[in-house]
Amino acid sequence: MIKPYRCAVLSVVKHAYVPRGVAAHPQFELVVVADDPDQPEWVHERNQLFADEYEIPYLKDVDRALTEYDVQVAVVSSEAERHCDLSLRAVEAGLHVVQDKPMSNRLSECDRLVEAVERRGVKFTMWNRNYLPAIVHARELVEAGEIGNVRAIHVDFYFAKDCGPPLGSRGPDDPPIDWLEYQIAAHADGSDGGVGREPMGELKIEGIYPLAYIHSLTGAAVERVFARTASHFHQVHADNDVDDLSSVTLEMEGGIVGSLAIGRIGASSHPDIGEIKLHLLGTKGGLVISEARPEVGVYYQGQPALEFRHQRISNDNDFGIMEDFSQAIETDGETALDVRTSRAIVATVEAALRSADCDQVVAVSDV
Amino acid sequence: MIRLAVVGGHSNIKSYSALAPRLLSAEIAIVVSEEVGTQQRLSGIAGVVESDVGSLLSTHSDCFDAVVFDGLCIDFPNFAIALASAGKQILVSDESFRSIADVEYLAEAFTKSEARLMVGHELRHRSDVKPVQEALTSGRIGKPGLLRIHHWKRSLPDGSMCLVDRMLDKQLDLACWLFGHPPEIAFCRRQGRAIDRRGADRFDFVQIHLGFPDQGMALIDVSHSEDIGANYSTLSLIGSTGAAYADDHHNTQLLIQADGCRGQTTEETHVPLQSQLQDFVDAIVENREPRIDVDALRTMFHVDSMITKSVATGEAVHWEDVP
Repeated sequence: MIKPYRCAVLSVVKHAYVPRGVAAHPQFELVVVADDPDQPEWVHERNQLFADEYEIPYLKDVDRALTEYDVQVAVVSSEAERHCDLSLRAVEAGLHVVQDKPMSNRLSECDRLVEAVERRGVKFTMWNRNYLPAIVHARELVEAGEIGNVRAIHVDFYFAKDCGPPLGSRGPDDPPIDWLEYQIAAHADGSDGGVGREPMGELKIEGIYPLAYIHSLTGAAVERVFARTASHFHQVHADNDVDDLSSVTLEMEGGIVGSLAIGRIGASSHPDIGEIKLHLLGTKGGLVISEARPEVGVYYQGQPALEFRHQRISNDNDFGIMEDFSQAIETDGETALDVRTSRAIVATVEAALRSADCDQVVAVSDV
Repeated sequence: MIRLAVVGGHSNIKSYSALAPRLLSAEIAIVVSEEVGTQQRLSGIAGVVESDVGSLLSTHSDCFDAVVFDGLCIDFPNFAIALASAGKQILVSDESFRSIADVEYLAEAFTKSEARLMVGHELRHRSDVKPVQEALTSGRIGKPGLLRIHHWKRSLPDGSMCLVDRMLDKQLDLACWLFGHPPEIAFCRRQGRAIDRRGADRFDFVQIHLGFPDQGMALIDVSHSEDIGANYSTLSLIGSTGAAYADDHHNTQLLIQADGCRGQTTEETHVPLQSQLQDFVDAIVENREPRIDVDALRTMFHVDSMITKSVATGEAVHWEDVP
């Protein structure tokens, strides 16, 4: 067996699923957690907890972690606004990078990272769900030509999760909900996907997943978008003027038409994690894929209301991402969700948000 | 007992045979069809079978109270007005109206008449759509947020293709009905231009994106192609406090044979048509206005114009952008 790649975890303030996913592959070994010393105490607490769990040191010194621990890979899972900065520093130190989503909430930051990754010749991958069994199955069918050339692709990506008090619950004298305070508090129930100082809607936070499916299944770039967004469910989204429900039409390379329906639609809206489906039309047929399948139903007396009745099985997503990353390093190939594709996804989301603001079709190249 | 005259009915022969004994307070008294096969199949449920629509008023005027137009009828607007003048109630498919001018012409004529003009929007009566609409109107799923419809239809065995735009019209009506309002903005993409076996020029895929007041939105795609071997339809409506999913994927059964496994869905037969006919009959019996009037058609034609402009310009079109 090849000696494992030694990994530095640069901030782990969210769900920690990214570094856990990295560590699940035998080719990668977490050796240190690090963050900047000027970070607030809640950040240091979470970093320390994760380091303790893995029995590795926590350093309040990113540069030292990058230079003194013989690391080859950085795993970045900070607040979104620090993603690119931490990744850049790792890239400049010659490390390959596995980064949490979204790539950034600033396209200019993505551009800096694209330039650095390509100049330094290192590998970059954005965390994704492209190796879920249903998506792998869809990819196999498309690649085998079962539906011919893809002409249209539609993704529904609804997370049936709550996110604080419902829309309309704030009293006339109550202050608006502070985004960061809410996200920090929401860590306990896992609804802190948008953790950071800058508020982000669901399209920005989760849009990478369906857009990565579309890239994976078509390979086509998105050229123009038309979008509608709403704060439809949660007070925290309305108070911070970000979306929790959106729809996007995609005009893609080669005349492919696509669409996204995406939202954090509330726990009462679906018996499981949510309706996540793909519909593809090709020149030889159609394909309908439920991302949750295969799954197993488990029902019993006294079952907690929020426990999912259907459990996903055969989930090999973590290994798939890291195997792809490992192969890219070893063969000097590209990862499935490389830095340019990730940047293109951020640009598509930015174009969609701009379209929703101006009620017009927006070219992705214009953002 | 309301006596119905059915004009056309070729594409719904099975449904009429099944629904005839199920209708309450009504019977099918006359069938008018130029198709010999239709005449033969429906002769068992109707006392009179005719081939000439003109004979309805000239010969059988005393034998029916209301007319169901199922299929295209030559000079429908003028014939409908003649029927209204004779006090006959009318149920007509939305497909019978060729233009907004037809709609306005008939609307004005029926305003002056005591006869009712009910527009048939069969999708509203589908058994998988009704629970969605009831969940919405009862308030159980809250304010409508995002409606998503995929509607794919296989080509007919004879190679003919219905207009995908016509399929879209039915879905547009459904969307406006569920949101209770016309859209403010529309963006449309079409593709798959092809020549069908009859030599007609067609698009076989349309996608439309609608924005409704109060942040509502809808994404609808419709395909009618020889590449699709089976009908498939799914509708989801995300509301502010819940959601409804009417999904052929959920309802697919498996046929397992020596050469593999195939998914099959159970086709609805007479239920939507029966529901629509019964609603029409009930409106007559209860002497109330029909639930669906010509306003729905006005909306549909206006949205059609928005779509046409969107396709031509490649841009999103607001309601007020078209006359």
